[in-house]
Amino acid sequence: MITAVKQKEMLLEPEAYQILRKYDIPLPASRYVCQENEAVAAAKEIGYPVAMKVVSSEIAHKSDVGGVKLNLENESEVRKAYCNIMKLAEQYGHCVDGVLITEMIKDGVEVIIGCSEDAEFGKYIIFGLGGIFVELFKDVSVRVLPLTSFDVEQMISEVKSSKLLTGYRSEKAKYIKGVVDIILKLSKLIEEENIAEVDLNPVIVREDDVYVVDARVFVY
Amino acid sequence: MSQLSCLFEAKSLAVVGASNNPSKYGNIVLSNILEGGYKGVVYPVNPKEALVLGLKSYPSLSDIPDDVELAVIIVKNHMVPDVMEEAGKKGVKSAIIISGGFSEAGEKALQEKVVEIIKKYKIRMVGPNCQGVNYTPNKMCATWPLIKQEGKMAIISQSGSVGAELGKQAENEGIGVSAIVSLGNKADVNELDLLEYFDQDKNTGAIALYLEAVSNGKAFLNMAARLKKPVVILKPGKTEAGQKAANTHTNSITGKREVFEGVCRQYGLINTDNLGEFYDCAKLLSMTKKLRGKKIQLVSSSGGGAVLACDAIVEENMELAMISEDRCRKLKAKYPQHFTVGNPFDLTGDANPALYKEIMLELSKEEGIDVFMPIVGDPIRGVAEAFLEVRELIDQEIVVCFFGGAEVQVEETMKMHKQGLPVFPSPYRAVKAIAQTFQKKSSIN
Repeated sequence: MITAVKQKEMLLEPEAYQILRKYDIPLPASRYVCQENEAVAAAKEIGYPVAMKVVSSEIAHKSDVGGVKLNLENESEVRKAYCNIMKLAEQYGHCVDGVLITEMIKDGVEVIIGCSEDAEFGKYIIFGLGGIFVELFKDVSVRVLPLTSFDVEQMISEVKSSKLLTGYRSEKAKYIKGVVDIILKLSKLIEEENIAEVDLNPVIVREDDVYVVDARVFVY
Repeated sequence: MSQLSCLFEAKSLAVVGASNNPSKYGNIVLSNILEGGYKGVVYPVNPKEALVLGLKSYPSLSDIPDDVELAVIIVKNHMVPDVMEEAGKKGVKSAIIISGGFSEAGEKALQEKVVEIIKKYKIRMVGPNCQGVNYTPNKMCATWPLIKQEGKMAIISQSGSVGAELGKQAENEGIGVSAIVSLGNKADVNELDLLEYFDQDKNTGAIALYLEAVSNGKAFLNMAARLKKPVVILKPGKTEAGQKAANTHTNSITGKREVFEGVCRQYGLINTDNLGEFYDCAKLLSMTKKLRGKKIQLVSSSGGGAVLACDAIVEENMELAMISEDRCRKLKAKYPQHFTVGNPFDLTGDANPALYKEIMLELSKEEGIDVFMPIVGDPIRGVAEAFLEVRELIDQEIVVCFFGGAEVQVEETMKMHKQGLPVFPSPYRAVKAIAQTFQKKSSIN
């Protein structure tokens, strides 16, 4: 049994942001710019510190090629980061569309939320805590679509590392309701749009809010 | 689905390819049907014999003077389309095609031809390339091995050996089965038809499903959402090597392991990792009602057994029930000092059936106990009667652990199993089965 492999294509991050915003999924304030001076103006408008991410259809893993600069505190750091990113892209021979300037979201628990397609059961959502918990311990939970808020609450509490969200040691409990909300909105998005795969990594969960900090969206 | 009652409740069947040669499946299957005490009428079909296993043999299906509801077919693959055409004309309603040599052997066109014929005549078919069907309420063992004992466990298997092994274990333990169906190539009847049928079958209490790949993921989920009876699943292909082997065995394209685990949690299916867990969970669910909670009370004759059970309870996320202080005081005053009153409740070497009964009845008044797990670690005769009596008098479920009891253990276990009281030969297996099946129930609520 051979099923035809459907071609999928990664959206540029500003496009991914657009589709996520349409479904009211919380994202940091951001501006997509194509020039150094625009980058400076955007950073000022958003308010320091900011993050800068390369936007290129040829770069799938931005940080691997030095395409992500965090905690830029002022104009000169923004200019330096911009030049740096452009230079690196040139070195690697990548065509660059521009950069995304975003608000810095700090001090929270990193989680990942993803969507992919299974050979037997179709689209599913995967959840886990970021970094080593997913990569090393494979501590993830999965639910297939369609799902209820009960399913989502269960899948969050099911991962062993979820204690980090409910308040481990002296840490206060994080905004789990916001995570539930993102997963439900994402599942709606997936059912309504022609989406092949989504990788929200990381999603930063703090005490009172939650933000999707990095998004990779693939469409057919 | 009442559609399949023409298969399971068939009042007459023909074995096409019936043989007098004991090394042939046409002989083994007919002999199991006869020895199993099939309730309906049997017609062997073999043009070369006058008698098969003492029965008049017919040259072909159309030579049988009466109606035939079910055809069990064990002939060379290329003969199957003609036999099915004849079956259709004869008015046969269902078929079990044991013959192999179809899509599993690259003979796709041959299988499609058979499917075309059964659609034309509206025949329901299990197989081809399967190990047959056993439905004990109809005493119809159209498969191997011979399994006669009726029980509440229905087994649906994409592997003949897995179905046979599970069924035989259930019989050896005195539990029995309601059905064993070998799916084979699933050219017509698939797991969805069977899940639906057994969910409504009054002779079935729990369904055990061995499946390498589902026929249709979405339809499977819709069915899972509707099922009322518990379903225990063993789905291999958890590793890359296993997936490759499943692809070779049944052409299965298996999905990701974590996705299937998610599906089971989401839809309240009991996912097991190996044949041992698969059997234990199916056994427990075919014998018990829904567990109302996870607090377990141990009453033991064995200190070691109690310790092992405590570890298992904690590790499997179950809970040790707490006995109220009042009751503890009362029981301490009543029984010798060397008893350990509490949980575990250790009766030590003084344990006897009457003592188990007395203490379980007294503890059953406690509100915080959901399940009693009496542990019998010695050859104590008569515990079966005691536990069966207690079961009638209390609300809590009883799951027995019996080990270290040698021949007495075998006898007592059989007595309990025949009365539908589950017994496990180790504390871990008892607790593990409770924990695995309990999780299923809790996710449904």
